[in-house]
Amino acid sequence: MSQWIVKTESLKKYYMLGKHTVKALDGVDLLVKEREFVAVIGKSGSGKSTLLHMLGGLDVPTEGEVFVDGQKLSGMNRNQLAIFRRRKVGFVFQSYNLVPDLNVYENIVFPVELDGEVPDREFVEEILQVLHLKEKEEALPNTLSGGQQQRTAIARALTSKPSIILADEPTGNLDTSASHDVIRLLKTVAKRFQQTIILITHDNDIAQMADRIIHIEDGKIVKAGEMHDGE
Amino acid sequence: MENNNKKIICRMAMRALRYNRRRSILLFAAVALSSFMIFSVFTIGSTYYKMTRLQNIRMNGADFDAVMYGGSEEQLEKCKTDEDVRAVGLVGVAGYIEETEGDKTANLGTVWADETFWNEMMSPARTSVEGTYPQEKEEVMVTRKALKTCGLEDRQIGDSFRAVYVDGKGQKKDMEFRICGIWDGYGDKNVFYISKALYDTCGYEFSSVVSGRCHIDFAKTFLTEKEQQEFQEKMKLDKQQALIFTEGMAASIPIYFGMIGIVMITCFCAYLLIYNIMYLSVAGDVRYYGLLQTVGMTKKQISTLMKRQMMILGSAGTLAGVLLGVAVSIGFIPVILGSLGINADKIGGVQISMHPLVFLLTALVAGCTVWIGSRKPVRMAVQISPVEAARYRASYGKKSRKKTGKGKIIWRMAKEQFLKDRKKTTVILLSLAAGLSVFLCMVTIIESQGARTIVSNYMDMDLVLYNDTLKKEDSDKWEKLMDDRFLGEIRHNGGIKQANPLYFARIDVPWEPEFSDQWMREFYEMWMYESYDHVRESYRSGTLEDNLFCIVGIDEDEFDYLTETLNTKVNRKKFFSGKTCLLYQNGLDIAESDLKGKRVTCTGYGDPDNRRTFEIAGLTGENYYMAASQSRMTIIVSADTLKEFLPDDQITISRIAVRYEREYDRQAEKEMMELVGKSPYAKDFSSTSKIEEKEMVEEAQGNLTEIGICIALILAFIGILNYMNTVTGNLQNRRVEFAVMESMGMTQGQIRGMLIIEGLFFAAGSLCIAATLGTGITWLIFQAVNYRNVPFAVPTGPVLLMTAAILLICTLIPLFVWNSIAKKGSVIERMRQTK
Repeated sequence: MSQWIVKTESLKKYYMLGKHTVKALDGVDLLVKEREFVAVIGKSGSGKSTLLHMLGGLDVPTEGEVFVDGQKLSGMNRNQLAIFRRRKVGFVFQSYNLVPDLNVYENIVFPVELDGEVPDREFVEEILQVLHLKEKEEALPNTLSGGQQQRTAIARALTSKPSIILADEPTGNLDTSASHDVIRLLKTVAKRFQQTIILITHDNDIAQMADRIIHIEDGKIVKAGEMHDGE
Repeated sequence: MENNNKKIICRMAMRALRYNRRRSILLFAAVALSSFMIFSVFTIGSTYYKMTRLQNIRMNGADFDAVMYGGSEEQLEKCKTDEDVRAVGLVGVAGYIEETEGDKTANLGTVWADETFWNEMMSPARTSVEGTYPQEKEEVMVTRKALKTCGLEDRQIGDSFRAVYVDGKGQKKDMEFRICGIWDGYGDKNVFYISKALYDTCGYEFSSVVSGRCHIDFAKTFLTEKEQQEFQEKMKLDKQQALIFTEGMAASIPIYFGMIGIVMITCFCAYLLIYNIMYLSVAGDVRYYGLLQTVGMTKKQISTLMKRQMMILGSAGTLAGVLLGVAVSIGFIPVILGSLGINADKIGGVQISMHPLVFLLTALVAGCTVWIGSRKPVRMAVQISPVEAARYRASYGKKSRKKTGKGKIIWRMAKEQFLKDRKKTTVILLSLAAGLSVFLCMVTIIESQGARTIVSNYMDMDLVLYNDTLKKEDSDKWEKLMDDRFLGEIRHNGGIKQANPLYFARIDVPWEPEFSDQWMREFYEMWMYESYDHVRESYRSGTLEDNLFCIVGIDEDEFDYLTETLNTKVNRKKFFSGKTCLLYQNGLDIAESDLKGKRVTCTGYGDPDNRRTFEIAGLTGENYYMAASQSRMTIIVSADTLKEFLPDDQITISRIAVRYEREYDRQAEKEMMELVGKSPYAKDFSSTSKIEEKEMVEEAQGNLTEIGICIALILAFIGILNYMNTVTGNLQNRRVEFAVMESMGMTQGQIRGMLIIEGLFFAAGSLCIAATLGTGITWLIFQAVNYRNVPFAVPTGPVLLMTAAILLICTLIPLFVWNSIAKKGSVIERMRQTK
C-alpha cells in the first residue's frame, strides 16, 4: 500500500463574524494516499472549501497541523508557502482564476516560469492536446467559454507536475455533460502523471467518479470512506 | 408620470458613499487635491506675479510703466488727460555735483521730482524717509550712499556742505547745500533730489531730452504691443525723444499668458486626476451598477445617483481643498520660509494675497473639472448591461488573442501591465509628466530670474574699474589713474583670471562729405541743442569749439567678444593690422550697411599732421564704448594700432574690466579694492561690481525665488500625489489578480519586482515626455516671460534631483500600496474580494 501524501491533525479554522465565532473547520483529521482521487462533499458552508485552502497553504489554520508531501505547512512563511504551492500543488478553482493579461499558453506555464524554469514544451503540448486547447493557445481568457477556461485552469494545475491537485468545485459553472468531461479528463491526466486529486463538490454524481468520498458537515468529517490504494 | 424617487436616490448616494468608504475617500482626496492645486496656483501665482511686479518697481526705483524722455507742455497735457493714464510723475535732470568738500571727483547727479513721482510713484520702492522733500534752493534730499560717494558719510539732516554744482549750461557754481531729508530704498540712490526752485534756475528745459523724464503709470495692468504703439503715436515724439516701456509692462502680456499656461497645465492635472480616479472606481464597480440595473434601477436613476455622489464629494472636496490651500498659504509657507531664515515680516517679505475671486475661480474650475471628469465614467456605468456586469472582470483592452511573450515572466508581465490599457497608461504618464513639466518650467524660470543671471557687467566681468577724472569736462583735469604698471599689478594677482584695459584718447575727425558730414548731422540731431547747419561751416574749416571725437583701443579678448555680438563678420587680421575700425553707434539712426566699407580719417588731437585712415568694418551699440564725459563719436581700433598711432602721453586707460579665477570671489574683490585704495587717486576711481549688483538685485527680489520654489514644489508634489492616487486605485483594482498570482506560487519578492519594473516604466515614460514635450512647453513659456533675454538653460541640479526623486517615487509608491494590500488577510481572503 502506498504512503499518505496529505495529512491533517486536529485542524481547526475559526472566524469571527460580528460577535459570533464561526467554526469553519473543527478538528479535522484526514489522510490521503498518493495517487488517490478523493472527493469531499458537503453542504454549502460545511467547511469543505476551507479545508482545501488549508491543504494548499492559501489560508492559515487557527489550530492543528497540515502535512503535504512530507512538508509541514505551519512553519512556513509566505514566500515558502508560495514556492510550495507552485512546486507541489496544482489548484483548480470554480471561478477559474486565470490571469486576464496572459494568453492560454502563458497561463498554463505561469507556475513553471515563476520557478525560473523553461517550460517543457513537449509536455505542455501533450496537455494542450489532451485538454483540447491546442487551437486556443494564444486566446485571452475573456474570449474563452466556461469549459475552456476550466480546462485551461486544469492544464495550469498539471503543467508544473505537482504531487497534488486541489480542485474546488471545478464543474460548478459547467453543464452536466461538460462537468463529466472535465472530471474524466482530470482523472485521466492525473493517472497518467501519477498525481493525487482532492476534489470539492456538492454534486453526488461527480463525487461518485472519485476513488473515495469524504463527507463533511459543520467543519467535521462525518464519513471518511475507505482508503483506496491509488495504484 | 411623476416618479418621486429623489429621496431614495439621495439616501442611496449617501449609503453608497459610506459603504464604498475606500473609494469615497479616494475620490474626496482627488477633488480636495485638485481644488488645493488650483487654489495654490491661483494664490501663489498671483503672489508671484505681485512679487515680480514689486521687483520691477524696485529695479526701476519707482512704480511706473513707461518713461518719456523730454516732454513738451502739449505732450504732458495729453498724457495727463489720457484716459488710459493713471498718473504722470515728472523728474528733471538738473546737472551734477562735480566736487564736494569731501571728494574732488564726487560726480553725482542732481534731479528734481514732482509731487506725484516722489509721493506716489517712488513710495513703494522706498523703505524709509526722514525729513521732507526740498523746497528751498539750497535744500537737498539725499541717501546714505550718495553722501558716501561725495565723501560726506558723517552728515545728518540739517547739516550743510559746500559743493561745486555744474548746471545745465555747464556753469559751475560753488554752493552751500543743506540736507533736508534722508531716504533709503531701491533704485538709483546715487543722486541728490533738489527743489523745484533750484531746478527752475538750472538752465535745463523740461522739454529737452537731456533733462525731462516723464514717468507714466497706466490704469491698465497690461498693454498690448499695439496699444503701446498707439500711445507712442499719440504722443507724436520728435526725433530726439524716446518713450520706453518698462520691462514688466513691455512683457506683461506674454507673462500673463505664461501664467495662464501654468494654470492650464495645473487644471489639466486636476482633470486627469479626477477622471482617472472616477474611471478606475467605476471600472471596479461595474458589477454593482449592473446589480442596480438588475433590481430595476433605470439608467437615468443610476446617472442621477452617480451625479449626486459626485456633487456631495465635489462640494466637500472643494471646500477641503480650499481650506487646505488657505492653511498652506497662510501657515505653511511662512513657516517654511521662516525655517529657512527668511523673515516674512520684513519689508519685501512674503505677502500671500488671497483675492475673493480666487475662491470663486477655484470653486468654478474644480466644479467644472469634477463635472467633465465624471461624464465619461457615468456614461460607462449606465451603458453596461446587467448581464455584462455580472460577468465583468476588470480587464482592459479589446484584444482577443495575444502572442506568447518572450523573456522573463516578471518583465513581461510588467510590460504587459504598462501597455495593456494604453489610455490609462497615457493618463498616468501625462499627469506625472504634467507635474514634472510644471516643476521643470518653474525651476527654469526661477533660475533665469536669479540675481546671478540678471546682472552682468560687460563681457560678464566681475569688476570694472573706471577712471572718473575722464568724466570731467575740463580735460586738463584728466589724470592717468591707471597705467600699464597698474594693469600688471592686477594681472599678477593670483585670484585674477584676466584683465582687459580699454585705452582711450581724444582725436579729431576732419570734415569730409562721405562719412563725417553724414555722421555729424545725425549726431547733432540726436544729441545736441544746436542745429548741425549752424556749426557745419566751423566743423568744415576745423574751428569747431567742442571736441566730439575719441578713439578707444581694445585687446584680442574684447575683440572676440565684441565681434560675436555684431551682425556682420569682422576680418580679424585687417582689424589688428590697423586697416579697419568699428564705430560705436551712439543711438544714431544710421544703418550699418550705409557705413560699412566707408573710410574714416582721423588725426591726433591738435596734431593734424598725424593722420590715419580706417575702413569702417561695422557698428556696435554696446554702451560700454560710450565716452565718459559727453557724447562723442567713438572709433574702436586695436590697442596696438592706437599705440602706434598716438604718442603715449595722449593715451590713457579709461577702464579695466577684471575677471576673477572664481566667479563672485570676495577675496579677489577685496584685494582689487585694496590695490585701488593704495593709489594716490583712490577717490577718483569708481567701479561696478558683479557681487554688489547681485546683492542689490537679491535685495530687490525679496522672496521671489522662495515663492517660485514653493509653487514648483507644490506642483511637483501634487503631480506625485496624482500618480500616487492613480497607482493606489490601480493596485486596489488588481488586488484579486495579485492574490490569484500568489495562489499560483508567485512570491512576494516576485510581485514587488514586477511592481518596481512597472514603476520604472512609468518613471521613464514620464521623464521622456517631460524631457521632450515638457521642455518644449517650458521653452515656450520661458520665452513668453523672458523679457530680460536671459539665455534658456535647464538647471542641471534640480533636474537631476527631480529624476532621482521620480525614479524613487514611482518605484516606492506601488511597493507601499502593495504592502498594505498584502497585509489585509490571507491569499484566499483577498481572492474572495471581488471588488
